[in-house]
Parts: sequence; C-alpha cells; structure tokens
Amino acid sequence: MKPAISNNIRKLRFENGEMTQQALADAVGVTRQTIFAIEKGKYSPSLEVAFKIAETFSVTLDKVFQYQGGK
Amino acid sequence: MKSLNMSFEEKSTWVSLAIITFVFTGYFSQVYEGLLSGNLDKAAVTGLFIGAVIAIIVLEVVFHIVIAALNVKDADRPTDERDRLFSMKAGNISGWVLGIGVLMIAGHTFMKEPDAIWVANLLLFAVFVSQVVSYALQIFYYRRGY
Repeated sequence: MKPAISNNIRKLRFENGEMTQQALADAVGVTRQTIFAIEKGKYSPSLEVAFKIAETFSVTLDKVFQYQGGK
Repeated sequence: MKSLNMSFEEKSTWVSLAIITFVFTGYFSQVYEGLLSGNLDKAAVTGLFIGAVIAIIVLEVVFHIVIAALNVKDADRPTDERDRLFSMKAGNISGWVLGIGVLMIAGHTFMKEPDAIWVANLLLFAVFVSQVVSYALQIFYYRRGY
C-alpha cells in the first residue's frame, strides 16, 4: 500500500550536511526509529513533529511532506 | 536486533510478551490440570498465583536491565508520540477483548454457578489474553507501520 503522505526527509538530511537520523530525532524529540519509520512512509507524524522537522531544516512544511491524494 | 530498527519500547514489548506468555502458560496449565483432577485447593492456587506474579516481576526486571544495558542511549530516552499512539491503539482493542471476556465469564457464572476459584481464574485468563493481544498488536504496528 502506497503511503498517502510522501516526504523528502532523506534528501533534506543529505542537503543539511548528511545529518544523521539520530541528530534529527534529537532535534524534534522523537526516537531514531520514529524518524526511520517516517522516512520509509510507515508512520505519519503529528502536525507538531512535522512542523518541528520543517523548522529543523529551515523550510516550509510542504517542502518536507507532500499529500498524495485520498484515492 | 539493531538491524530490525527496533526502538527500546519495541524491545521492551517483545520481552514483556515473551515473559507473560511463558509464565502464565505454565500457571494456567498447572491450575487447569490441578483443578480438574482435584489436586489443587484454594491455598495451592494462591501459592501458584503469587509465584507467577513474583516470576513476572523478577524476569521483567532482569530482562529490562539486560536490554537497557545493551541499548544505554535508547533506554534513557522517554517514549515518543509513535510509542504512545501504538500503545493507545492496542489498548483500545485489548480493552474490548477484556470486556467481551468478562461478559462471557459473567454469563457462564450466572448459568453454571462455578466455584469462586474457577471464576477468579477465568477472569485472570481474560486479563492475560487481553494483555497478550495488547503486546502483540503493538509489535504488529511497529513492524507493519501505521
């Protein structure tokens, strides 16, 4: 099943000095495994965590997450 | 375990599932056989129950010390929103399992009027099943994603 929300977290981590999943996890206050699950599309984070991820990369939310439609 | 990308909470859930299944499978098989054959009285069942509770506490402490020692950084971190969501979702379903179990036992008690020792152990069995369902669902959510 294709996730309804895709994301660019892997790309953004790469563009931000190859930030590790652990560093991002620490920045937003979740576990590394949760960042891993979000990246793989296996978990949709809360709005708060989504905004924190965008803030960490200094980009807007739509640069991190994209809604793929409800079909 | 690291290659499976398990959080400390998921490892803890696996440990708790294994321990509760191991201890209470032993407890219920002994109690069931003992009550059917008439070899167990109330005091003996109470002793088995206390033994099972102590075994669970000791095994939980020992195995959580082991997984914490193997994952010192993860063990220090608080649970996050994903852990809490999976716990709540699993708890919601396991609550229904417990409720249905209690209703069935209530009906059985009303119709058949079994001894209190049977009723107590049937209720304990319902708690055991609902807890196993809760742990198993949490692991399912961790593995499959949500």
